[in-house]
Amino acid sequence: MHLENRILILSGLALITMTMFFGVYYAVFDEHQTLVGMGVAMMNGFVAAADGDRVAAYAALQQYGEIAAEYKREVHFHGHFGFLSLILILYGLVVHKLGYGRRARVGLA
Amino acid sequence: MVMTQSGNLGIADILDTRVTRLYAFCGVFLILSGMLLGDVFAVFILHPNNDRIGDAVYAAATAIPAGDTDAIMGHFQAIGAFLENRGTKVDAHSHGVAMGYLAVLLAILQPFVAWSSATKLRVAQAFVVCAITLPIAIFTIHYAGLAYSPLVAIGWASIAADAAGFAIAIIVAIQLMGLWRYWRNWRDDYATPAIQRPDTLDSASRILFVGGSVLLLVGFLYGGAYAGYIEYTQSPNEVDILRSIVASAMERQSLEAEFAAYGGYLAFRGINTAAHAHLNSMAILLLLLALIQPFIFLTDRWKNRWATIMVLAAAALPVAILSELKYGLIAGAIADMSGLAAMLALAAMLFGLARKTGALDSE
Repeated sequence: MHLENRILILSGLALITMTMFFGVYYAVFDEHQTLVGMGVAMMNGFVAAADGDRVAAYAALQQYGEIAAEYKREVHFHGHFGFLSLILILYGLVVHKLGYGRRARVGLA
Repeated sequence: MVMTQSGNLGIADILDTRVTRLYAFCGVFLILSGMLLGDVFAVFILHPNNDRIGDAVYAAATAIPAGDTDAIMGHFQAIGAFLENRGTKVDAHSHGVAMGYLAVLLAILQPFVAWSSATKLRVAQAFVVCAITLPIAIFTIHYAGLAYSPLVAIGWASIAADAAGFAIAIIVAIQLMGLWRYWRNWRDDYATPAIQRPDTLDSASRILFVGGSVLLLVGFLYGGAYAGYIEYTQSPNEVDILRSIVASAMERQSLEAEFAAYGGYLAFRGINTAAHAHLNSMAILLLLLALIQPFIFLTDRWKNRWATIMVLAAAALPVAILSELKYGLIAGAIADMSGLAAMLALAAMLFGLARKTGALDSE
């Protein structure tokens, strides 16, 4: 097995291990809190509006937007990391079949 | 399929060991189950659930002029439940498919994992249990809730999902260590004279490999264009829409236009994200299936047919999802039919894998 195969397969498995650990950490310590925070911030916006406090309502909705953006980033980080790891392993199994020279294949890997 | 010592992909039989059979069948089964769940979810749950979420937000907004905070809180509690229902279905679908991909890759890598056969079998059995538990536990989160849970915010189903995810991370680390043991005394074997070219792959593998690579490239370009340009220039701002909803409600004005904009925003974001995810996910599936074609015990003619159907379905699915913005349910129906065609092709390949094990056993 060639160097380029090893680079891709080992990196892919290492990254997938990391992203699995991140996923578990995130699910246990962050995701629930973030989702609750999003719901509470949006609800606070509507409740403040019902109390006639437009400034507080807008501030709560702004906070909702920030938490939602954070949630999206974290979920995409986990998802992209996982799928890119799979792609590394996949190409690690066939990279030696590319019609390039050795250096090019190692460089691509 | 194994990589030979020279590093080339050969057509030795990985299906002749219990370990690789476990991974391979678990993998294809999980992919098929995950796709089936995704199709059922899209048809029967996604749209009705989105309507319920929209209705609940609308009801909460209409309670603003009356200053009815209790009603608002009640509606948001319902929204939380609807979102959890939707989120856990999406996660069960995506984690099931992803675990299937990982299982197939681990099947192919097993010849290079330097542990004893008994250890590899135990690790494979643990992987199968955890990989099947993970999506089922995620699916169950919404229904199990916090019943009998020892924790304040996390129920037993979440605990099971987290434990399964943790165990899979450990299992992958064990595979990594096994590979490292195999390669510890590695030497670069470029002295091998003949490096096989892609044209030595059989035609079904080539159909899937080219289709998968093209789809992957398109998926990356689309994801880059969406994240770098479309999202910032064409996507409405959610916070601005919510502010206009709140402002109109406080001034006792009609909320129709604001909710139309909100619905448009949710559809835009959901459809674009789903199109990108399905482009890449189907591309990875095609590449994986290209690698396992030598183990599918069907005639070349039928292998080519199923490979072609799979590529066409994989390409049609994200395009149809994206077209839902313009063509609505018609495009949604085409997306569902594409998913169904992909599942049919996958089931045929699973059947071919099962036949191959029978042929090997009888030899």
